[in-house]
Amino acid sequence: MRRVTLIAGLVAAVLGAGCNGLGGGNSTNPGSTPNSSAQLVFRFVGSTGVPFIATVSDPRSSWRLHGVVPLNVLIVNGPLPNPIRIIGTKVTNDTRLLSVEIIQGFNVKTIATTSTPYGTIVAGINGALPALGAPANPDVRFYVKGPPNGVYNALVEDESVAYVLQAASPTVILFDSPNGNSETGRVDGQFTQVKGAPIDIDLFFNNQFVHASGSGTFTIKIN
Amino acid sequence: MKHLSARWVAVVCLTPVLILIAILFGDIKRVLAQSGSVKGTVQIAFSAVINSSVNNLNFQSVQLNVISVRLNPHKSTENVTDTTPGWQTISVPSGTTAGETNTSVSFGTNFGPNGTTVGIGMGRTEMAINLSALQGSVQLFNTGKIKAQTYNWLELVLDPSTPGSVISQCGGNTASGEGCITYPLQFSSTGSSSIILNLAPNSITLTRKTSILLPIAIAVDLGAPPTQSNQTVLLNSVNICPLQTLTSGPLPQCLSTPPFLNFPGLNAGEIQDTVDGSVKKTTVNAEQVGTGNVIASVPVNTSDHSYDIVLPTGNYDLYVRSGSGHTIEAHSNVFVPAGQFSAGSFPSPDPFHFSVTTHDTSNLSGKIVDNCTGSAISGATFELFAPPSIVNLTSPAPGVSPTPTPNYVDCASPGPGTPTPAACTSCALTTNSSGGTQIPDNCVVIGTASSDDIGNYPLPGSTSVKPAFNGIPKLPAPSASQTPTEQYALEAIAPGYNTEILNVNTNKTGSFECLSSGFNKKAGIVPCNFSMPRGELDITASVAQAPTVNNDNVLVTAEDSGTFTGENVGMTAIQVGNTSNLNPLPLFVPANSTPTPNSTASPYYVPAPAAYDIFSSVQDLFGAVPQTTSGHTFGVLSAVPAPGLCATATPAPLSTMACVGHGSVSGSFQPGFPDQDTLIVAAKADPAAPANLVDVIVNQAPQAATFNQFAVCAPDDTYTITHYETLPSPASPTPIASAPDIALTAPTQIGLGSPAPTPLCHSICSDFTQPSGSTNACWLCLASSPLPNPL
Repeated sequence: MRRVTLIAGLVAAVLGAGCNGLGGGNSTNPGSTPNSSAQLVFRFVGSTGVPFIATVSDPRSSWRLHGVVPLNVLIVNGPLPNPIRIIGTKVTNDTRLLSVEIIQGFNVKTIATTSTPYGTIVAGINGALPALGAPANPDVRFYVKGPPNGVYNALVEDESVAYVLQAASPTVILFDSPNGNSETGRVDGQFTQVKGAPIDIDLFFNNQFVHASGSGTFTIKIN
Repeated sequence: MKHLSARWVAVVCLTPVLILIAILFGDIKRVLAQSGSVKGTVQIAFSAVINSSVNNLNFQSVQLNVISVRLNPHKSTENVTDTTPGWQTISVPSGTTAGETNTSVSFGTNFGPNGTTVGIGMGRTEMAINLSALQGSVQLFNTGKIKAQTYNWLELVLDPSTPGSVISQCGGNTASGEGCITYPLQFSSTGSSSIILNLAPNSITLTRKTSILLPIAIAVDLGAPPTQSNQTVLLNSVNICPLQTLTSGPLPQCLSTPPFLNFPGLNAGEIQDTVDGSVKKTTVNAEQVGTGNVIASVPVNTSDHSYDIVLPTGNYDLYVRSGSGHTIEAHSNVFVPAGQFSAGSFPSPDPFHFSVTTHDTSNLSGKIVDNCTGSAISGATFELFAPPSIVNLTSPAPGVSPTPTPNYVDCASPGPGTPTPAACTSCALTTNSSGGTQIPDNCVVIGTASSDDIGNYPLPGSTSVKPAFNGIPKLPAPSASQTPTEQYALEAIAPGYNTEILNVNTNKTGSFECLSSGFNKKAGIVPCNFSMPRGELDITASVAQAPTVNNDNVLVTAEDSGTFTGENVGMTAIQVGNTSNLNPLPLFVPANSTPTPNSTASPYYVPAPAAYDIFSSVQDLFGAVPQTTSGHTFGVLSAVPAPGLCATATPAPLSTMACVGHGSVSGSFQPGFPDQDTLIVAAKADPAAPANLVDVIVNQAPQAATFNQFAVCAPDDTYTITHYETLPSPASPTPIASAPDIALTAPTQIGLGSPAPTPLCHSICSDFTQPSGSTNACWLCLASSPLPNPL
């Protein structure tokens, strides 16, 4: 029953979005929202548990990540146009596989892979990003740690903009320049479990940290 | 304003309804299929043959982007296409994120209440198969549960837009495209992303609740190397052929025809044996010896307790797990010979026969922090070592011949005159013959976990995917005031830190604890927490010419001096107008001293090397595309002393990196090589200490002696190229042979100075399309003469 409700809700969202704004929140100006780029996901795959250190960057900000395979990384609120670049190094001295796919919408745009000891992978999308952005400040990250292979929908937002996304955990959602880089502005997220066990989330805002977990739909916020 | 037409509205509004119906009914069918237990398990493995219309060595590496393997029961005599009903899919491995393909949820474009970016979708997952390293060997792709029936058709599904990529070697003249950069593959006019093979009738029969192995040889034929740097390389053809196995019948017809005619066969062994007492969740796992690097994992047939596993010939640690409530049995250093072996092929003690029984189990968890700051360490790896029941006392040797004869010892009854290996009773830390401390030889890693963003391990699980370290068999509880005699060892590894090892025992309440961790008891248990020591090196990198428009981004790597054993990496930027990074890059490395033991206990820390080699490389673009091989020379600094515990050292700046363009060189192997353990390493002399070589490039080689050539791409410079084998010790690879120092042939200039050439050119680290490019040069790399002697 819950599944049917979720699917019906999803379809309602599509109807609201696609049918000239019918039922949507933008009733005064239906259908006039601008198109923008499809969701970008960096998907680290390969041998399960392979640790890596990666730097992900858009033109404005960059983030350094310590992670293990598998991991999805998303950037929200990135500037447009949005060339993005990633440099990752497998931090083991063996020949296990580390691969990163850059997925735009439903399409795999780029794959880079290494299986050499301390091998490095590089990849980019949406044109040249000649130099990496400065380290993100504030550095805001949602770590959706589990469940493994769980699917969820999320609405993440600061005080002025909101983003809807769907992804599979584990995921790191990087929020670029929330509230115009305010050090005190609120950031929150509403997560809805679609498939799998309860969701487990950490939200970092520089050195601040909050945790939330649960089934169904729940909220996490900071500041 | 963006109003949609009535026709478009009808399409947009109807689609979700259809989607809803598809999802609902699709799910119903899926549930019915799963509930009937009408499935069997197929283990897919790949091997490769690369043909080139011109010369195989034109390509330094070849990768194929594989989405899935599919099987179809349709009659052999009828035509089958990609859209024919009945295909059963085995998609990407479990290491990837589920292989989700939510194609049933498509929102067309994007939308949002206030004009912000809104995107839905996870996209499919693919796997890049490195065909260069797969030649003559096998790599497991995935294990999938599909409908149990007879299959007559086999399909390999590739990425339809970019089926793969190659890295081209440098060419011989200016009629070539740039070398050492990535070129996408493109299907030729007859190519297809769907490669379908009509098998002989009833070739593959999968019965319910059983598993079969399906190794598939992939043969690709590539077009000519590019003559311009913006070209693609044609993928003329892709052919597939299932290889013979114990369970899939006679030799397929396709193996006796081109392009598989000269296929050397698998340098692999296929083992079919049994696990007594196995249950539904029982798996047989093979690891690289002494590590947690899982090479293959297969399920056990629940009806007859049999399993079937294929492995490249060599030595492995094998262990069998059945989840909570059961024992784990491990066999150490088992040799897998070439060929096919059924149960009973090996004398007692049979290293491929296992038994599991019911047993009390418990879970293991903890936390890892920085010893200097107390901050959490994310992405750390934990390996749990357990005693084996069978040990092969013969160490493997580099190379494929001669094969060492295994000498198996049954820990339960070692036999007269045979000493019982220490690992048979406990994996508690012990003193070795040279006075050092170590986990006993032959202990087997039975579980691997990782820490999360706040330093907790293991990562969360779910009802279907249990967390690592769940269901670990309890050890005998110690009697009062005695040290437990039977223990596990738990090793924590994090880049930039000394590796820490704790003994793990079961206490009187049946919980795991680590008496030597140095942490205070919590709820009556000494937690298995880690406090990792480290030091810090503050690194300065420099370039010959200050960047004028965009910063240079520099990747810095620290490795144990004189080896290519990496310790940590970091990124820094050399800003516009500067020739070095303004703020030194803090790079953590293992410290040369470790914390003082407290009054009760002390964990064991693996000592740091005496010194580190540091090297740096500028992360260059070719046009808009980031490249693995830099166009700048490596910056190097050798023999940097390890810093003290929590201390910061500031070594001399690394040697200067200059934009020089690419070079490449090829070579061959001496007889008996290469194999799955072969690595080719390029080292650069430290200008400040020319006798010291810093290993800067590590490449894998083909895995079969039939394909005995290799190529190295590097910035134009002078290198020492050495062939290493990772046996007998992956941690300390054995050098086999080195070539005399090779100065790569310098690239030629195809555009230079001011005014800028027409049309504008770009090269690896000098780009006339950039605003300040008119003062640069464009490089086109040239191949060097091959190395004179086989390595």
